[in-house]
Amino acid sequence: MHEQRRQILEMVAEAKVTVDEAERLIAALDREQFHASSALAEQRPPARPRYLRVLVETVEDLADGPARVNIRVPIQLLRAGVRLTSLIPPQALNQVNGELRNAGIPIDLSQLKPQHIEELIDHLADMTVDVDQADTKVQVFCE
Amino acid sequence: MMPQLVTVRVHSGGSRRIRLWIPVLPVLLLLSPILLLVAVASAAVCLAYRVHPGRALYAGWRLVSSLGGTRIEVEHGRTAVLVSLR
Repeated sequence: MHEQRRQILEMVAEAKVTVDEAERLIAALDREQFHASSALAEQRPPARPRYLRVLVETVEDLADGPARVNIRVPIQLLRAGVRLTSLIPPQALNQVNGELRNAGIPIDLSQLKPQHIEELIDHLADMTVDVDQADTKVQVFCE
Repeated sequence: MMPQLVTVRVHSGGSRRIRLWIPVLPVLLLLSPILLLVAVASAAVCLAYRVHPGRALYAGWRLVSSLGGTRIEVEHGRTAVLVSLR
């Protein structure tokens, strides 16, 4: 791009083009550069979230005043946690699955694989949970 | 990477303030004899439950390593507690 700019300036110096024409050429070059960079930005995959944030705010409490909780947990911890599930002995895993089924949560923990957690993390970037009540505000999001 | 510094701040109203900066590595070195015992006991438990001790150690290490960047901040009235791992 710098080379093309220099060529235009040289053409002006050699009086091959007028200053106005050179200005138009440089503007066209700038536009081309802008389109190229924006196309590149569109191709780039969106940044993956690094932290899970939980914010809880309550308005004036009668006894002690307002309360505020701000928690930031690295997403990496989620990955490490999933790896830990692979260490659970099969008989314990069956028991946990059974209890989850009884509680109405049909999740088979033995099917939880690291690649699933990667997919989940990819989609977490778009997730925001906002709960607004008269006296409490809860926000869960990834950043 | 494993967290290097744990910061604890407690502010319980008035002029009472506690600020602690705990360097993780020196504390681990100081506690190494106890950690060794814990490691032996953990290995025994792993073997009893037919879990490979090496895999358990690796998973535990990954868990501790991923704690860096954790920040927990709780404020209630005039009391505030902050725990940060860096």
